[in-house]
Amino acid sequence: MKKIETGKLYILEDIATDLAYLKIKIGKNAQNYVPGNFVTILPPVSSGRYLRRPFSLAGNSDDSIELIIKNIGPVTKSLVSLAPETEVEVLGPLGNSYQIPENIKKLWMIGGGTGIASILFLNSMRQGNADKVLWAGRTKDQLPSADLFYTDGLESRFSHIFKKNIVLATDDGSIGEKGTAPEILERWLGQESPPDAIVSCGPHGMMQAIKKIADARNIPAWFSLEEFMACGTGACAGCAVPSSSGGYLKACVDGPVFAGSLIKFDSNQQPHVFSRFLAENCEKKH
Amino acid sequence: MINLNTKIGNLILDNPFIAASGTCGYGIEYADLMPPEKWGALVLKTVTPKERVGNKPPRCCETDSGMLNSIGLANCGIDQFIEKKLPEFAAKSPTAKAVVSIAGETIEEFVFLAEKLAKKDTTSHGRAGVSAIELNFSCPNVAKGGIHFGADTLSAKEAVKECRKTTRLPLWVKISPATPDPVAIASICMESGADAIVATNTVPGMVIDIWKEKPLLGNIFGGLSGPAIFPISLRVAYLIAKAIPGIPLIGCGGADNAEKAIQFILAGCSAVQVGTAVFRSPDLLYKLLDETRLYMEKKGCTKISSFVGKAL
Repeated sequence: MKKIETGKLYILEDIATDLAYLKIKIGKNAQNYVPGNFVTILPPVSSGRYLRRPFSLAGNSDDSIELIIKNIGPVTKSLVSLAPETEVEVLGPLGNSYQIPENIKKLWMIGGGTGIASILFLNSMRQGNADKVLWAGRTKDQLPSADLFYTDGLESRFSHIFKKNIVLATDDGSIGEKGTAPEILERWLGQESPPDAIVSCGPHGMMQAIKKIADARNIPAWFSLEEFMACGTGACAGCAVPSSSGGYLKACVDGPVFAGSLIKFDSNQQPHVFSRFLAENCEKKH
Repeated sequence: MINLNTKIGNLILDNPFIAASGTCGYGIEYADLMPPEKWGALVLKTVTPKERVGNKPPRCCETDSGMLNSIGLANCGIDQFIEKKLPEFAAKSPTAKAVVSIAGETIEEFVFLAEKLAKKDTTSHGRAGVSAIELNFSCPNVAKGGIHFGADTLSAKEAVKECRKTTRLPLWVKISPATPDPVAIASICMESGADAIVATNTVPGMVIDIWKEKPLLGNIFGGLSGPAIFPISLRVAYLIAKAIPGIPLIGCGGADNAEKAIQFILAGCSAVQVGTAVFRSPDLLYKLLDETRLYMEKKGCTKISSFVGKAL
């Protein structure tokens, strides 16, 4: 059952230039979260923003939930600048979850940027020896460096979510393999037998390209979608996702995880990022 | 002893706080977080004669101190609403008061909807669980009907008059803040048989994405809600209350704490609808009730009616 809880932020660490890892201690309701679920967080006062923001879980423990957020907008930037032990208000668990049939033994999970969060959670809950995770970013700013990931110990310090089957890749090759997520998927498909299924979460354009590849080869695929949402509970119908059978589905309650066959991607639909790019890049000149 | 009861026309509510239409879904979406019966009433999502899929996304975005939405009255249609949504709500919370918001593109459609809701079921007034009907004359996000009704006194008059013939349920009329003469609309609606006026709905607005160089919302325009619009809504409510003494009035638009809600009451409203603020804090009602009690205690008043319209 969804609840509003106040939790203390007790681990906050930058894992890439644009990404932060957060652990929030909310108590034992943390155990009720499953991969695919999300929370909405009340914006810190310092953000100057009003509505709660949705974040998919990257993992959980007995008393805490874990998030990986992209510190790009006013709310995420103010979250990552909070002092340890600051209380944040969390509403969850929200949304559906990944329902991967048991006969899927080989699952490829593709996360773009911060879209990796729910995939890390799913991967950590599976014991699939044949599973593989691709974590793709545009440039090195969006991924942990290989040093940080493998040598400096992200993989060991957060070993419950950063498993050994994760492959890093960037469009420009600045970290990990070189290529976009769809390019690397094609490469993998050329190298070995196809997976039983694919799941993906990331920018719409990336998921659209992955869906095309999966559909062409009849590989079942699930996608976890992020949309701007006001309520997160199914009340407002603001987070509409075009349905393949006409009309719309709600990302917050019908999703965020959808079978690829149920949805249509519309590249215009990528949620707007509330950046303050101009203000932040001009202020030093005066 | 402080009593939060309030009276809107002949309808008595346990407290003056009402969940606004479009923000509390069909009444059950927030039930885990806030028991529906704690609200004075809940105005359910606007229902239309046929199912509507709603507008092209993106449908909403945050703006300074508020949000823009262009949902486009996405809803399941009146038949599905009566067969499924209303019984679900009644089962979840048998004592909660539901107000059904309706919108038609024509007067005939408004009448059709009012008639459906008035069909005798278990009470002599209307369907079980329905305490009132809210005529949505102010949705900014649909091509036909909606806000156009609220801007045209003749259509508003006819629609209220014809709906009045179909039902004894209280009829509330929700008007737009963008209407040129809110007093004229409110007064003609009351003369035609409305039981109360809800002032107001969202304020028409838009946002442009400067990087994509095009309007952000799929529908281009949307309705602005949240604290940003509070002074606008309050002015409209005040104008109406001042011009039509004693009019049953419900404030709506931007109240997100008791200090704002009390301003609506002092401006002549006997109840206050709350919407966008619930997206932010689904359990806001508890605070509204506590803070209102504290205000009444400090002012030494025991009932809501004793300060309705005191600032007029």
